[in-house]
Amino acid sequence: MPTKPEQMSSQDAATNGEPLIEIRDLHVDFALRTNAFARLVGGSSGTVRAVDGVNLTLAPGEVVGLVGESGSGKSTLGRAVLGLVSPSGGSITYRGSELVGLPEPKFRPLRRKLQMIFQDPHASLNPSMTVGRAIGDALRIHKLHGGPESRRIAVAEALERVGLAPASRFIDKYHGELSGGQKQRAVIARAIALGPEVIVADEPISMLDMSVRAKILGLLTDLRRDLGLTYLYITHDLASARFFCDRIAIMYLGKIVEIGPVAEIFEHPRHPYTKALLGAVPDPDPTRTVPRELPRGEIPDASAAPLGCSFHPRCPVAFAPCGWEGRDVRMLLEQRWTAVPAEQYARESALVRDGANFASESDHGALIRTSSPDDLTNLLTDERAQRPDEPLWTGVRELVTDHKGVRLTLAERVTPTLRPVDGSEVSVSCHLFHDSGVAGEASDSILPKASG
Amino acid sequence: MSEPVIEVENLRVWYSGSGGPVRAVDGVDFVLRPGEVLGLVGESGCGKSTLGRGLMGLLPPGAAVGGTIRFDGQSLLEEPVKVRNRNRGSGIGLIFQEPMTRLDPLMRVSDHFDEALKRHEKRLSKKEREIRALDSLRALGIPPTRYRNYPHEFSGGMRQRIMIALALALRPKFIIADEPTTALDVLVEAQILRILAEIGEKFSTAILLITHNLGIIAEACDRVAVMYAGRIVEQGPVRDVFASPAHPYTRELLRSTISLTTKELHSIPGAPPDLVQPPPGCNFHPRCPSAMLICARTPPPPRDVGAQRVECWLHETVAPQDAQPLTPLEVLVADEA
Repeated sequence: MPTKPEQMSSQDAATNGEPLIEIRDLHVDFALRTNAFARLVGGSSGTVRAVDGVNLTLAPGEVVGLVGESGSGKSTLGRAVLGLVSPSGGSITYRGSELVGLPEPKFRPLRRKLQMIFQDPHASLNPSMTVGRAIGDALRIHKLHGGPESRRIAVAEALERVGLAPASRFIDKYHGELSGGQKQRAVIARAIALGPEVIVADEPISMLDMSVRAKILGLLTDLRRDLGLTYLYITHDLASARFFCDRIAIMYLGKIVEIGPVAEIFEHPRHPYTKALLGAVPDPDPTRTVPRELPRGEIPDASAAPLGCSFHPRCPVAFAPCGWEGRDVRMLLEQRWTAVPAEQYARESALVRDGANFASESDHGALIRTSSPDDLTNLLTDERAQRPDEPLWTGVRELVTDHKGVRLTLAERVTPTLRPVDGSEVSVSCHLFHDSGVAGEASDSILPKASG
Repeated sequence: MSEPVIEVENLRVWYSGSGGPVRAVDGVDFVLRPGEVLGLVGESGCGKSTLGRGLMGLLPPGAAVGGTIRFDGQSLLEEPVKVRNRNRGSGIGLIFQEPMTRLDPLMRVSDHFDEALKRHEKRLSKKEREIRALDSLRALGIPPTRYRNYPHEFSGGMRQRIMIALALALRPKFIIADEPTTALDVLVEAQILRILAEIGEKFSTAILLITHNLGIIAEACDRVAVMYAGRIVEQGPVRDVFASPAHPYTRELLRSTISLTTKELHSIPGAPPDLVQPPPGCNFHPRCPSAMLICARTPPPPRDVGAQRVECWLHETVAPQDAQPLTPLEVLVADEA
């Protein structure tokens, strides 16, 4: 694990830095459903690697933020910690005991210590239960506070702790009688009633109104101080993560691409994806009108993740070893066709009819099949002349016209790994910060468009 | 200055409720000129979406509408339903919040465009319709290769682009975008906001952007209108309003927004009022840190302060006995929204 356990609040330093939760090389795969016919004839169903080799530790009293877009695997990772999805590989330990593969009856007692706050307060309380019952049920299942009377007292205490005071006003209310903020307070009360150590908070404030968000985030901060809670805070909102977290892990397509102390990440973002995310946060300061370079496109389909660094197709500073492939040429052409007149589009798109099998890949190249290879070569040469700064061209070693089509020789692909950056507490998974180890690609290619 | 595209005066939308009418929109005035982007910001329940729907004429039965909406020389509320239906789409376009559910899953993207154009632009031939649709999609960065795909083949951001392209294909003079980026990721949100800001310039379409996020207003809008409990309490150029908010609600809302520079959390005590029985005087007075005695008695008149228009007694000359601070009612934490 490349990151150091640090940033603990002082009272927890007593536990001599032993991590509370330790995640090692965690993998969570989801099988894609295929249709009945494909299953009969043995068609292979793909898998989505929702979490793809993640290492992460949570020190006692620490707040670690998992930040990423939808589809980055951040929620899946959080759920795996609670045993709500079963990992396909790797390990999660809680105070040294393994959680992966633990059968449900053995897991259940541990859930007292590992609790979750969900995103949607309107959907996470049972509408047919009173607040008192919803919280009391958790206590009953875990056989805490034996009788109904002492249970009711414990529920009232939890309610008052989260600000739903006097508890007598709320304990017999149904979920429909509460406002959004009150519901989220009740959900938090349910989580803390069991005396947990770790809380996985999955977007706890994103469904709330602006003026309520600060109140709930303030409550979570108070609870951390008063109860010594450890949080895994899952969010796509960088502003609240900056305020609330000690460390931040930025996730993209199932992998952590950058992790480090919150101040370092926000003041010196290193990974191009982190930079892009930070630049895209809408800021309520209209004087800040910096022209931003936004990455094109969206988070790709995880069932067919890009090769090499999975951010390379969107990365504005990608270069030769980042993982160029035939699919990227197709994206380039589609981008070109959004800007050309209709007749030109019709003419050019006729050259490459076969959209699905656009290019066949080999180790070091791609073949784009076409009936008129010369025209396609001219098209690609023209595109390259028009936009020479396009990062893709740094990865194209050679472009040869073949009788079957156009053959591209691509630079060797190197998948970046999460490694510490010298002189900082941050780890980054990007070739800009670590020598990719390919001959001729020395680390001086930190200048993005240097190679060609 | 060019002629306004839409002028709204004293617009009221009341719903029938069990305890009496719900005054969702209660006397709203604003003007939008070609190419201008007006941001309408407020918390849930302040009436901002109702206002958008009221302008479109898409209110549920049981809603009563009063006041004037002048659009393109017509007084919309007085026109027969037929005229209003004709305007919807071709005159006033709407972009919804959830792109995932607003396209028909059984229709190709091409069919969506074909249907809308057939309905509103009867003179266009099939070929012309396709050209118009492809132009519109291309302007939003959707490759023409995807024209015949079904909605499920697109990601959320692409679907929202298609929705915007669909609205633009009819070349409306005015577009209402109701929380267009709420369901989208940060990077895609930034892309869509940039597109909306460009539409204003490129096609001189006026846009009403409804959102609860002040950051979005700062990024994409020229002017902002802050709505609280059915009324616009302050409006003006974004820079002016954000730099020196004239209404205490605007100020408090800006302070309680969590941004990258937040060092300390701040929130507004209390919750928005019940719109069936709004408080007497200024709607915000029970939560206002600067409230005076007069605020609890008489609603403040609108007043121009520089380029901003604001409804607050702080900008009026108030007799000394009325200017005494109002003792705030004790607010329990639990009563906060």
